[in-house]
Amino acid sequence: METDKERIEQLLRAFPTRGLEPVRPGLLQQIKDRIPRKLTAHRMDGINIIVDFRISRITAAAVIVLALIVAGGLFGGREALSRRMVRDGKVVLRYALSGEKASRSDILGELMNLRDTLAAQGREVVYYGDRANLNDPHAVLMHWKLDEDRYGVILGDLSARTVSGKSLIRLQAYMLKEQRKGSPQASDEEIASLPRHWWKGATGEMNHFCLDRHNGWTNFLFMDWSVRHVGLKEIWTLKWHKNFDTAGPYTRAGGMQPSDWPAWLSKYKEY
Amino acid sequence: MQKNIQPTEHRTTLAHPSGQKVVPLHGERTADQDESSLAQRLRHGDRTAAETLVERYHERIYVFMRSVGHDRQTSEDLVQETFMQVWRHIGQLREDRALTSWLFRIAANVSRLYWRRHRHAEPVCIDEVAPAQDEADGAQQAGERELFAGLHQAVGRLPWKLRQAVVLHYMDQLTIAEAAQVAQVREGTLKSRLNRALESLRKEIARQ
Repeated sequence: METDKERIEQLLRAFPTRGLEPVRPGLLQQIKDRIPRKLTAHRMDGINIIVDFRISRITAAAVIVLALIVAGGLFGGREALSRRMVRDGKVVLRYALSGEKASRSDILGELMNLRDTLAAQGREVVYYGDRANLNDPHAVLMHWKLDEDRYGVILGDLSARTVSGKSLIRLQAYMLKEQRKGSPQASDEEIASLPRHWWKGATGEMNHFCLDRHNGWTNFLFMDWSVRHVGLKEIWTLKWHKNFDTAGPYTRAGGMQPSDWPAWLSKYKEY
Repeated sequence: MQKNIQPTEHRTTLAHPSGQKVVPLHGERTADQDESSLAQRLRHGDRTAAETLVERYHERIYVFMRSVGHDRQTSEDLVQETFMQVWRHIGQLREDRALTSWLFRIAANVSRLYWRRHRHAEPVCIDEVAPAQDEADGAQQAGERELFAGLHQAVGRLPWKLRQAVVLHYMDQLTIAEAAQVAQVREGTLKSRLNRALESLRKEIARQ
């Protein structure tokens, strides 16, 4: 057995000379021709430091985002741009560091902060994060109007895009396709006792539609293919199906008082 | 109990049997001082030192690339890529670092990066191993060709760590210390890898 190994050692040593073809003669000149005129040690800039220390891409991304956050902080964090930079940076940093383990609530919490910031700037923000599937890269978590026919969108993979109105409709249509359909009842469990966006299953169907995404309004598509804004409290007055009582307990006609609504709904118009 | 073969430290100057080469395939082994002064000149941006480096090492890097399983064309490309990386990172060549092991570490990284980008590719090249042509082409030579082809295939099937150790130490004739530096492991680890590789090759060749 030892003899075999020794024989293999000999063969391995002889392999380059007896088992391989010689190097192509032109190769040497080709390599020489590519020697740079100036051989200089590279500068220790950020990218090279990352390369030199073999930092993984995700860590490098985290370092860059952290630097942005620090830079944003240095500018006072009061100016709109730096504040946004800080907020956006936090979202990305958390995602970069935690990756798949980043909890849904962490990501959504940061997105809601971003939504509040944009809303404070007077932008038309629509937030779907609480209903969107974070594992779906095409899911729209949030969008806001930039100008005529241009919208900023944050998708399920936390990428930010600028899309046209048509593209946004396509994305929303995709989301609608994935959405759960419902058949609410006028006498569904009392919404006043429910926390915001609370899932109540079959006896709380209206909670799937009474969502505070448009500052007290929601967009409805009707059977005649018309689309219009509907007040959040107005949805209890619509004819959802032939058995739905449009003067049910959650309408003014049914005796609902403004103080009966939960705090987040009480400020909106009564129907 | 089985006695392990201790990989040897001997170095030979190899000449291609075709006799076409004036410079032996592996080149003359330079003295440490030589290597150190070459490294120093490189650090100072001496272009002639760069040319010397290419002359001295390009065949060894080619042997490395071929031996780990790349085909001829890819090996040539990777040799060029290795030197491009050397020029690019010449500033990282520190005084306390041996030039040979630094160079081979770059070559190993270039090779691994290639494998990573071409995962679908076979780890063993599809080229026939082409041994040097001899004057007399007899049955013995045909047998030898077959033997080397089988060996090349068997080396190509080894896991990367074992393959790298075998190629560096036996085929490129780096010392244990140099090969260990390239693989970034301790000498004992490299010796153990060599023993495992030899055992694996022995079984593989016995099976053929």
